Amino acid sequence: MPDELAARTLAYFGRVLGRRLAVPGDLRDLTSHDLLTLADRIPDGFLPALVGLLKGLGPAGFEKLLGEHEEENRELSDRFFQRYHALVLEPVHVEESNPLEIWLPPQACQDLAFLSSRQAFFLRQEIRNINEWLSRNFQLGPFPADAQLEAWNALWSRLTSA
Amino acid sequence: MSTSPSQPETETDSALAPLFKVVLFDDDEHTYDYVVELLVDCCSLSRESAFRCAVEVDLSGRTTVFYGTGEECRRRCDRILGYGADPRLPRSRSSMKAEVQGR
Repeated sequence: MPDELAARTLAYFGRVLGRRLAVPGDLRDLTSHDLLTLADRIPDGFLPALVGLLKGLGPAGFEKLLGEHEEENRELSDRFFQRYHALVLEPVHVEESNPLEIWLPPQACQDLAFLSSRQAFFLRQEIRNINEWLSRNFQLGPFPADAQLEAWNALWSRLTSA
Repeated sequence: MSTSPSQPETETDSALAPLFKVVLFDDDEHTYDYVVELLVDCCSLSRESAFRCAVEVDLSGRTTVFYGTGEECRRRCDRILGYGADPRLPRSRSSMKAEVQGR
């Protein structure tokens, strides 16, 4: 985060908390309870900025977000992780889609170095998703259950012989 | 505390064996989603625990993701190292770094 933006964000966090925060290191001086209270009071959209500012403070920042194992902080800590989880992770419906359709665009497969870096990802997919993707984009298959490697080899042969 | 990765572990050894751990290291080529998926698949963590590890590795640069015998830790670590690139990031070209350490 650029210095000017960090300073403005910290000034806002300071107003929310009722104390002066000028540099990211000032977050280190907050108790776990104060830091979690700050996280609880700011809108969801500011949580990534807060986490970004905590980077560079070492393990102390994460320990404070965990509540430093104090029972009184547990509720605040759990609420922080629930909100941050909902904010930064993909919605569940994306996981229910065919990951190959989302993350492996067929045009990118012409770059064999890129494609080879996706082999492990490809091999982890369910064969029905592989068959759907290969059929739609490369007119290959269908392949039987547990034939992910065979399907990968067929794709590789198609692209390297083209 | 050190055990060679190639050192055989007998049943007696395993009862007395020092515990080992798998440590995951941060980089800028993997998303939170990838880390959560990786840890659920490779280390049998719940999504909630995996997410906390993802935040820890992001903030602290490293996180311990598994404790166990040397053999089990090496198996889990190999799975992490073989998990491949993060498909969500075009610039991601390899797995995250991880290693087995004596506890």
